[in-house]
Amino acid sequence: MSSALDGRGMDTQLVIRAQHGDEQAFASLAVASGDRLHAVAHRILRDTDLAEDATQQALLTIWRDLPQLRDPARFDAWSYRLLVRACYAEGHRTRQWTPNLRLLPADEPSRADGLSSVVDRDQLERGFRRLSIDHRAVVVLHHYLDMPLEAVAETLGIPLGTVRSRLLHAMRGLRAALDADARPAAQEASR
Amino acid sequence: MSTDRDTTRIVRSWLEEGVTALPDRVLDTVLDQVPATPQRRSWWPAWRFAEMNTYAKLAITAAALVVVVVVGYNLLPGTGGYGGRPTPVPSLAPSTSPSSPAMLEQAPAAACVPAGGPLNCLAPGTYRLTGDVWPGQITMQVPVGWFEWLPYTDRDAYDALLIGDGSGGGSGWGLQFMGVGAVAKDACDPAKGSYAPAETGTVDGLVAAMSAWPGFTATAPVPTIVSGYSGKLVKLTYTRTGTDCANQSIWRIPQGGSVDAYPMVGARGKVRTGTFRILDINGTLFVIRTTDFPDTSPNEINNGVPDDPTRHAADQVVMQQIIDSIRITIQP
Repeated sequence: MSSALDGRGMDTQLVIRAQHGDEQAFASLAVASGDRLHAVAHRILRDTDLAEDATQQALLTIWRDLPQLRDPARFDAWSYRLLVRACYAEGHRTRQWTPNLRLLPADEPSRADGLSSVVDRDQLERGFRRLSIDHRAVVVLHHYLDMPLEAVAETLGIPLGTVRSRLLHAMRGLRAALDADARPAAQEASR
Repeated sequence: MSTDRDTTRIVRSWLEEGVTALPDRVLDTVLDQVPATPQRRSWWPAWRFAEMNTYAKLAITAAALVVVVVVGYNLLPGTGGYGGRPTPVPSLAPSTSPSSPAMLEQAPAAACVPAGGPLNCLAPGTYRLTGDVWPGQITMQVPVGWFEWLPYTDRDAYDALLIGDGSGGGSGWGLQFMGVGAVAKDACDPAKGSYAPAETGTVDGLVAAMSAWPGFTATAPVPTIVSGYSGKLVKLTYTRTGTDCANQSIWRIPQGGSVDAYPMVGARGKVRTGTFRILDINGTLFVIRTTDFPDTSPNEINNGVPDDPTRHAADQVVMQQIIDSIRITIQP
């Protein structure tokens, strides 16, 4: 899991002050939350510009709706919920999904994590982009933030069974994307 | 062939890659906008029940009982509440109040229906379109269970009122309100340029431009009136597959933001009609675009909601009531 997302809860007093309109307190919250929110948005949307727009929108919504947060201790989970909604809105507003692949040297050696080549990344990227924002959000919250499925369900406001089925569907799609890449290579090797 | 465990490991590793830091300019933009962004507060008071004295508790309890009785009555089948017919929006009497209603953006939040959902819908009431960029003050009555979708900012003439709570990508079903700037000659190919403002600055000129968009079919325009302002109603459908209109933009609002070709384009081969009410408000064009069809919306379909030909049938009635409640007032 990313070090930017180490799960530390936000300072509750800071949240309460911001809830009561303290702009300085909100600025501190925004500085402390900005990176982790942007990291999640970027992984869901797979586009730098869209992720920045979604994060910006989410931070403004956080400010606007903070008085409605009943439990300040749950600020982090609540902010992820608003961020995912902002990602939905960006996906809805902008339908042009532009490739944002990071080019790697073609002879990069195979790594222990199994992510061996540019082709793997390309296949994953394509497979991931085929998923709806709903499915991407579940994958990112669970596999990037290490959220338990129950927490994902609570964050997104959906039943646990729906989280499980979305994750299953998404991972099946990503596995198929990886296998689509592996298949020709395997056939080649067997000749 | 990869195993489930391989896939999980590879996906986790792949997700670790990439940017994490939010550029300072984004943070600066947010903090610059905070002073001008009012916080949305709930209708209920912030203090706790335990802090009140006995008389206050009794007063609140009595008020709550009245609410329960009224809401409960409205929930009974046949009384027009949720669970019966769609909630009717009462006709709007001419306002005698000198104060203008709150903007949609400043509307208090309320639980969506069915109850128990997030506080992401607007509290029912009369609101005006967000921003002071419209050709007049445009108000409407918002029933329970709708939310505002603001594609740009409150300085842009583009606002929307959609059914649902915005989760799952939003319903993509409802009303969109917009100004009209540069109109595309081809709604699927911005490279072909825009019409000269004089060509599309009238209701008939805009209708003619829309009717000429390649790949789209427009119905013959019929006269329409909204809040005393006349215009034309046109329905548009897209006749090609959704994939060949990736660069969709029907026009730009006067502030520059682009308007997409939703719901005509994007329904994965399904035919979805966009209904446009094009009004002339003292020489300025004002457009209401609606998803006035009973089917599941393209956005819902894209988010995995099953296609249902009657999903929004009851919502159509409510939408018409919202349109009927629209009041356009030119400020002196």
